Amino acid sequence: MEVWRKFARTAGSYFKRHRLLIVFSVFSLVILLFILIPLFKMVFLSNKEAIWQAVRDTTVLESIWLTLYAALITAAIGFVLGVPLAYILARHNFPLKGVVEGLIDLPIVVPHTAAGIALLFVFGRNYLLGKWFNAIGINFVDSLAGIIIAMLFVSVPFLINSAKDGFRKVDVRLENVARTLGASPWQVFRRVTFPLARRSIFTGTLMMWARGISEFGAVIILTYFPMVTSILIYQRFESYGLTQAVPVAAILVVVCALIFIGFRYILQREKKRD
Amino acid sequence: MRRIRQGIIALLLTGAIILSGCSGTSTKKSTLVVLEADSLMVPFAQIQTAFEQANPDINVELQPYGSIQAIRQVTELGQQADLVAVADETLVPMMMYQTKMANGQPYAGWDIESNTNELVLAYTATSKYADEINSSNWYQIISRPDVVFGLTDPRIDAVGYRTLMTLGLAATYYDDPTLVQDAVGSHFSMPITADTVNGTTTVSVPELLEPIDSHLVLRNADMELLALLQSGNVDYTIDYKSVVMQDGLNYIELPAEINLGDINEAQTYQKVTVNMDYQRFATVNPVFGGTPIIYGMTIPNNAQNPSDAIKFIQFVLGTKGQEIFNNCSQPEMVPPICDNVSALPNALKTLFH
Repeated sequence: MEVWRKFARTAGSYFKRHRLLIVFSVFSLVILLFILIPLFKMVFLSNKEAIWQAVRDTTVLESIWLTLYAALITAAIGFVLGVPLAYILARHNFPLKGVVEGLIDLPIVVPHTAAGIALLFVFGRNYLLGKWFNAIGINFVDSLAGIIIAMLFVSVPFLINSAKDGFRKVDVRLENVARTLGASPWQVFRRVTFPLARRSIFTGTLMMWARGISEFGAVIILTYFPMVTSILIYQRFESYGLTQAVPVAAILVVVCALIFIGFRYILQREKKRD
Repeated sequence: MRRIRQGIIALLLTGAIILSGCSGTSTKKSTLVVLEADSLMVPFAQIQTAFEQANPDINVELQPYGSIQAIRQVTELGQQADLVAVADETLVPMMMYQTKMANGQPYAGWDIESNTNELVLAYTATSKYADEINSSNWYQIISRPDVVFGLTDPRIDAVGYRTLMTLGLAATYYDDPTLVQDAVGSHFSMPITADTVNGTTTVSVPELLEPIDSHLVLRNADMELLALLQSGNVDYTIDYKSVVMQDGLNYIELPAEINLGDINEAQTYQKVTVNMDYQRFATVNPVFGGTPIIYGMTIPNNAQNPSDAIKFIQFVLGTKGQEIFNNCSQPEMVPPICDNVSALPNALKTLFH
């Protein structure tokens, strides 16, 4: 009896001391399971034989490879064009800045089929940019270029927003000190601002890459072939049914899990080093 | 501070209660879930309005899909629908009579065929050679290498394999034996072939369909091809007349012998077959014989609300419903036909005597 009372008291005081942590852990567990159970079920409960067959299927492998590198090129383009914009938004004020910041989020909000159609009416054969690019031999229908602009449109806000927050967190005084010590604005950006904001920028680029990999609605309007994995999964499902679609999805989930866990790990190690 | 916080919580709670109350009192309506073929969207939307006016206690939920997908929602994904309406009546026996639910019953046991449609060649004023195309040279123009032809994936959508049927029939009709290959077939890494033996054409679709040149654009659904057509990235595509008219596009009518829209030409249409070459993992019997375009409807055996579905079918087959369909260029079949009448719910049997 005494022991039990003592145990209850200790447990009670433990709970009191760590109430926040315990409550938050329970909530966290719910959302974690919500994310993980469907993914685990897809990977582990689908037919092993079918997964092996899909792993050896060159169409599947080529499609996953295409998706990964198209999204990577997209992230690189987003990096080159998005980081400067993020810097300006973080460091300078100009009229209608709030409007610009709101507009940048639009591609996340707009339904992606609509985004694809919107791109078609700019990069299509008969429209201004489409004509220019056509003249230099780039065509956006059924081509890698089409995949890239569709991915770019829907994913670049993630990078811009993340980089902007990163630049905002860099103390302006550090930049000023560097300037008074004789560094040029380029040098300040390269040696001070960018390195200090690099984690946010890297996370943003990673998010952008991930978002590109998952894109379906905008890509399918512009480019059915070459076939990105989201479309391949859909096409397999439509023409052969669930049994052929699930293994492809499972492989993509595993590949992406490895890549993204790897990058998180690198980010974590970097953080420790700082 | 605390008082403000309590105030906010109270406000949120009252809001939540009021909101849940609202939806709580209006749930007397029953819901009718209809999975429809994409090409039924326009007539069914009008029928929905009229039907809900006549039956204020029923809330119709229309969910458009490609026809094969609409059926798969029920047979593979376990969605409980009250009515399935597809653009090819042969799909219902093929995919729903033969697949069984957990209790051993098939997903459906009958099929009502009530409306037709026809294929036309759609284009816009900016399509290449739009100024010279007409009903006698269209098949030559879509075969020109500098024209972009849009094809719906025949493995996914009924319009796709029907386009191949029309082209197969046209090859005989215009005495142009390489028409299928020139217009679509030879522009894939593994070609779509067409062989005519004794006046019967067999079109074979390989398992892998990957366009190899810019003459051909393949998409999973006609909706996407129409967007490409309207933005000038595709010059011509073959699609249902109703859809093309609803989009306000230019079109060329095709002869009754090849447009799959005339029930009296059913004999002629039998002279083409589309073979899908994917035995490896077929869940659909991949041979499609040429038939007139006829829409099919059925109530799945696991429907939650079959009584409202019966009312909806009665409405579709009634005067108002058929007036809407006729106005949408999806003309009625007189009389409508039912496959396997003995399995039909009694309330509908009276319509088929």
